[in-house]
This record gives sequence, C-alpha cells and structure tokens, in this order.
Amino acid sequence: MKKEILIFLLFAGLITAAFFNIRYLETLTTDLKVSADSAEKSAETGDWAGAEHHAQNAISLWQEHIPYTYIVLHHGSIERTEDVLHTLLKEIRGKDADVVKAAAQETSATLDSLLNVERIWLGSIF
Amino acid sequence: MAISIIRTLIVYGTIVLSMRIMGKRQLGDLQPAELVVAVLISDLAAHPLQDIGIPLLYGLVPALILVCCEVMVSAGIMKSIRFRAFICGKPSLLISNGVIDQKEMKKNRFTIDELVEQLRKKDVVDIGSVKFAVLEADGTLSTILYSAEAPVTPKQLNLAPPDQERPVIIISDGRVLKNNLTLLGYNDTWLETQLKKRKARGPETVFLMTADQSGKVFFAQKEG
Repeated sequence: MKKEILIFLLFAGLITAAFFNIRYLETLTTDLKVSADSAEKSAETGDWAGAEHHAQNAISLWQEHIPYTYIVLHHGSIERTEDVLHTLLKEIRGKDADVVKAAAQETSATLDSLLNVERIWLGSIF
Repeated sequence: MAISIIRTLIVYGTIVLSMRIMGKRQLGDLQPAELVVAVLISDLAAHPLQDIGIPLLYGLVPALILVCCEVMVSAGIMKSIRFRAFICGKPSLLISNGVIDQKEMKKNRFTIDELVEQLRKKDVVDIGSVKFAVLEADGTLSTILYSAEAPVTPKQLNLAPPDQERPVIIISDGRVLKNNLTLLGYNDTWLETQLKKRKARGPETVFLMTADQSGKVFFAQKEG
C-alpha cells in the first residue's frame, strides 16, 4: 500500500506541476506581450528610444526564462520566439511604424501559439 | 551526441525503474492494460531520444503518468472485484462437461482451429477427453481432463512420496551466497564439508551449487 500511496503522490505532483507550468507560461507570455504592445505603441507615437527599451526588456525577460523553457517547450518553438523578438527589435531600429506594428503582431501571435499548445482546451487535447 | 547519450541513460534508468515498479510479470502473462502500458512506454520514451529538439520531459512525463495509472489500476483491481472484471475481463468456459460452448467461442472470437491448437499445445489431442476448457483473461487456455483421461497421481496409487523442497543457490559462478546459506540453516563448515566431499578446491572452482532443506545438493564444477 505504501508503494500505491507514493505513486498517487507522484501522480498528484505531476498534475500539479502541469498546472504550475501553464500558469508560469501564461505569466511569461502575458509579460512579453505587454512589452511588445508597449514597444508598438511607443513606435506609433515616434518614441523610438522607448520602443527599443520595451523590445530590449522583452528579450531580456525571455532570456531569463530560457533554462525553464528548454525543459518544458519544443526547442523549435523557443528559437522561433527568440527570432520574432529580435525581429521586433530590428524593425524598431529601422524606424518604420507600420513594419514595427506587423512585427509586434507576429510576436503576439507567436506567444499565443506557444501558450495554446500548453493550455487545456479541446484544440490542444485533440 | 553527448546529449543523446545522457538522455538515453536517463530514459533507460526511468524505464527500468518503471518496469520494476509495475511488477515482475512476463510479457506473455501481461493483462491487456499492462500490455498497452508496456508498449506505450517504450514508444513514448523513444521520441526524445531520436529528436533532441523535443524536451526529455515530453517522453518522461507521459511514461511516468502511465506507470502511475498502471499502479493505481492494479491497486483498484486488488480492492474491487467488479473493477477487476471490467479491466481484466472474466475467464470464459469454452468447454463445459465435454460440450463446446459455441456461443461463448463466438463471443470471444475464438475459432475451432485455435481451440484445437491450444489443446495440442497442452498435449491434448482428443478433444473428447476434455471436461472443462477455460479461456483465461490473459488469453491462455486452461483445461481439466476427465478423470479417466487424467494422469495418475501418487495419491490415487496410495503412495506418499516426500514433498519436493525448494532448492536455493549456494554458489553461483564461484561466489558463495551467504544469505542463502543462512536461509537454509547451514554454515561455512557445512559448505566446506560438502566441497571436500566433491573434491572441490574451494568455492571459486564451483560453477553452480544448490541445496535444499532436506540436504539434497546439486553440484557443477567450473570447466577449464
């Protein structure tokens, strides 16, 4: 019976860890999206220094979480996210508000798809 | 390359541990649910080994979840008879009092050829000698022959042969298994005497030595 109890605790632990992972990724992607949106808004008003600052923040935040993401996410998805964040920064430095808007939208969509894979909904289950 | 090696070692350790936790059954004796788990675990664990772009957890977590389910289902099977019948299925009586139950055979999708084949494997060539044949939940066929067809037992002949004792390995490939020696209530002196009797220079020259509580010893000297 001791073995069964330990196994049940392991099972419960894995379920808890799965929910923790969803919560963790939700917080991370939301923070990144906020930074990307802020960068887009700053670019719209012509505040290129502010936009660059927000984009840099997003990249730093993403890199801070790289060790965790490599454990729980497909490595291809991690590289794609890093690419879109760097593209956003590059476009901000190009100082074209329309291009920056498109890059910010792409960033947002990539982050959404990253979370959608982990989030529990019919689409991700089936 | 190094990542693949490390991952393989981790997966190997996890699978060995998982199989150990799940129990000691042979592959052929697995219940349907256990077979599904064994096949799935091996397949799941292989993916992160083939593609290092997939996190190792994608293979380990489902494998661990399957082991957990398997152990919890086993615990449920032990506790509830209904649950056991639902998960493992029930044995089916294919031959009852010498009569083949065709309905039951159809229900189990068991052909007459398979029935005859299974009986032959049990050295039964005459189907008329079978009183009962039970298709067990694990797919094996158990048979009970008519008394007139069954082998004679010592009891039927009013004989009382001594019961067979369980032989235990005392020396395995030159190594003395002290625990087994103690288990049988013997000691080093007994072992030395036995070795001297068989003209062995020491335990290191013995390939296999077993003994039981009645004192019966099997002895095989190392070759070369």
